[in-house]
Formats: sequence, C-alpha cells, structure tokens
Amino acid sequence: MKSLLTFNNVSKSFFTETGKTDVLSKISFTLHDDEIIAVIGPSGCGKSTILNLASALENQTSGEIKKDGKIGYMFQRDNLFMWRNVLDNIKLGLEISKTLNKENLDYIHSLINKYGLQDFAKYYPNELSGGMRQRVALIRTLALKPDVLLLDEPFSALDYQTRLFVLDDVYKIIKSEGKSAIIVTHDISEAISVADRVIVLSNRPCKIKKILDIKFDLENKRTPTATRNAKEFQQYFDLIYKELNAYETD
Amino acid sequence: MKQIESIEQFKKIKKRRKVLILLSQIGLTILFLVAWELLANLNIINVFLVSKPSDIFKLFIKYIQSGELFGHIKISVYETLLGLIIGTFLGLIIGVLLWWNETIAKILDPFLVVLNALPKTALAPILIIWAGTGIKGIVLVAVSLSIVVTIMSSYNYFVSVDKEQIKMLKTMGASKFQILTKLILPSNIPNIINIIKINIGMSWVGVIVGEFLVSREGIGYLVVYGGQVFKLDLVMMGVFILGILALIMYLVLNAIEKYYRYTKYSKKSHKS
Repeated sequence: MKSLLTFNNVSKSFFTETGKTDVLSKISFTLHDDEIIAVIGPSGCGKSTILNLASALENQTSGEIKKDGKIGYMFQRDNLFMWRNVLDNIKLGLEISKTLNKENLDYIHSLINKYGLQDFAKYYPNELSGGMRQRVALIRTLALKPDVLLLDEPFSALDYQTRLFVLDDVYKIIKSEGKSAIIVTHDISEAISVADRVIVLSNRPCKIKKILDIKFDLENKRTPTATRNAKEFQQYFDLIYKELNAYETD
Repeated sequence: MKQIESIEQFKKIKKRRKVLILLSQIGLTILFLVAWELLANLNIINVFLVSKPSDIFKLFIKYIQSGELFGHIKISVYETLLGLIIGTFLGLIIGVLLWWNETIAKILDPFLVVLNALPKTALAPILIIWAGTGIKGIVLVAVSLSIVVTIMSSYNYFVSVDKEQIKMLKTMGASKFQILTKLILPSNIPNIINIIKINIGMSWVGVIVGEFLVSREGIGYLVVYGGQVFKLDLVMMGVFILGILALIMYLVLNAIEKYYRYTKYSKKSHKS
C-alpha cells in the first residue's frame, strides 16, 4: 500500500488579539491509496483545519506533513460560478493552472460523458438541481486529476433525500476513479457509510481520540446505502456515538 | 379573479398588463402637459414664471431650425460621457487597488469617508480654476462627483465576494491576479452596471454645475442664461432636454444589462 498523505505529530495554533488558540494537537495518521478516511468530531473543533493543512492553505505550527500526490478540494457548497456554464465551470481549474490543452480537454469530456452531464454542458448552474450541481463540482475537482480528494462537509447544504443520493453518487465516482479521500463530517452515519477508517476527534484542542477500522461483509457491492442496512452498521454507530459523547460530558 | 388555464392566457395577461403600464405612463405625461397648457391659457398660473408647453415647443423648434440646439446637446453629452467614462474607469481601478492591498484600503478609509460626505459641488470652483475653464474643468467636476462613489461602492462589492469561492480558487493554485480576473470582476459585472447607472446621474450633475459656472455652450449654459434674462421658456426647454438625454442613456444601459443577464445566466438564449 502506497501512502499518499501522512500527518506526523501535527499541531496548529491560531493567534488572535485575544490570545493563542490551540486548534490541533499532535495529529498523526496516514492516508493510503484507494482509501477513504472520515474525520468526525464535535462542531467547531478544527476538523476543517486538517484539510486546510493538507491542501497547504495554512501551515502547521509544528509537526510534519508528507504528501505524495496532487490534492483536490471539495467544499460544503458547490461554489459553481453563476456566470459560467457547466463546461466552463469544469474548465476553471485547468484555466488557473494554464493546462488547458487538448489532452486535458478530452479528459474533461470523457468525465462529462461518463457521469451523464453531456446534455447539460451548456446549462448554467441555476438551471440545475442541487444534486446535479454537486456532481459538477466533483467533476470540476477531478478535472485536475488529483490523487487525494478532501471533502469538507460536502453535503451538509443539501436536504436529506438529496444527500443520500449524492453520497452514493460521489462514493461511486471516487471509487471508480480510484481516488483516495478524506471526508470531514459531523454526521456519524455519513462517516460510517463511506469510510474505510473513521478518525474520532476530541474537543479543542483537537486530539485523535480513536481511529476505527470500518469493515463490512459486502465485498465489492459496498455502497453507502448498502452499508446502512448491514448488520455491523449499528455497532459502529454506537461506538462512535459513545466516543463523541464522552467529551461532551467532560 | 379569473382562473388562468393555459400558458397562452398567462402570457396574454402579462402582456396586457405591460401595455397598461406603458399607456398609463404616456397618458400621465400628456395629462400633465395638457393641464399645464390649459391652466396657463386660463391665466390661473403665471406664464412668466412657469412658461407653458406650447411656448417651450415653439422655442424648441426655433432652436432646432437654427441648428444651435445640436451644438449645445453635443457638447454636454460629450462632457458627460467623458466624465462618466473617466470617473467610472479610474474609480474601478482604485477600487481594485484597495481590494488588492488591505493596508492601503485601511489608510485611505477615513479620507474617502470625508470626501464622500463632502458636497463635491462645493469644490467645483476650485477644480475649474485648477483645470481651466474649458471642457477640461467641466469634465473634472463630473469626474469628482462619480469617482468617490465608484471607489467606495466597488471596493465594498469586491471585498464581499464569497470567501469560500476565493478559497476554492486558492486550492486550485490561483494567483491573486487570477482571483481578480476569474472571480472578483466577473461576479461583480451586474454591480458594476449599477455603479454606471448611478454615475450617469452624477456626471450630469457635474457637467451642469460646471457649465453653470464657466461655459459659453451646453445645456447647463442655456439654462443659466435663460434664468439670467428671465426667459423661462429657455430654462424649461433645457430641463426637458436634460431629462430626455438622461432617459436615453439609462435605457441604453438597461438594454446592455438585459442582454448580459439573458446571455450570461441561462442556456435558453444559446441556440446550441
């Protein structure tokens, strides 16, 4: 197994006028290829900071981050540009990195066709449904051929119904493209249904409380929806629930 | 109320309402002019003070026949457009600069607030002395009126662009210049059009004030000259022409805005 992203004793503090805030404290984990890690923790604990560090938007205060591969980032909202149609939105990353060549354009078109957006290429974001927009956002991220996807509560802006649908959708796309991912969420069942491992974080300053391996007896037929019906699901849920709650009563 | 049963009917009702609004607007204008004319002819209002539509129209024809009017219109429109373009353009550039460098924005903030609160027309005599009494001085007055508003509102629009969208571009490795050209400017085009709309009015005020003070031609000159010799027909004609010119500029800009909205946010307009 190849390791794509390694956090080694990483800590992060913020300085504000009111003083120093320790957000992350000695975080260590490794993301391997073809693996999805879910990060779960109490809200406001600093989950998103892990992603900001991984994508080099911020620098760690101490510790070491090793990266082997390109990073792609997906946000809570789709952040599609209203004034660009679907195709132009997907091309955005290539324009930024100035790699808008024939080969990459062909790749974009193959993604568009593969994931059923060919009829919508000329549509503008406000003409698409929420689920469709998330799919466009994912393909915009994939267009840059990242090895690791960072997903920051990517579905929390959607209603529950759409969310289950999009989760299945995104899971399938990530798996079929053979990508690794770190998904930050506060939804326990969402974490269990997509992840190979779940990292449970404590309150601020965030420490790793537990790393849980998630295994289902589903072999290759695993989808987020299928896991929700699996017998192991409830056990994992209870375990994580207890871990999280232990902190709120502290 | 009647139930709407088909899309044709819905469109018909909408169209009928549009026609009704337009007819009412025209009707109101005519009613106002007719009442004015009647009251003037019946000596209920003093023609010497408020003039009357038929006299204004006669004067209008006279000025057109002599060709004098076009010269005045031309010079005023020219000055206004020049003031509008320079004021908007410079204002936007400075707005971008402030967005680019937060420290400069912080430093200039109190000065801009004071400049904005100051009635710029009070500066007009000084500006004209500095720039000269010709077109230059008048355009400078027009620019002084539009530029401060443009800087302040464009800067506010630029900094209120969605932070998450900026973050997204950063994760793609975008430079600050790319963030400007790919996000800040394109997302603010509707706002920039709004700024231009406001600046049309500002430039006209600047030009008229400038012409009041120094010029020998232009609509503002006609108005101030008419006032000095107590020819209220002339004053009223100048005001009417100003209204019509401002309306035309506004309509042109509205058409541009509409075109932009249709082509930019919807596939339906693209015949693909």
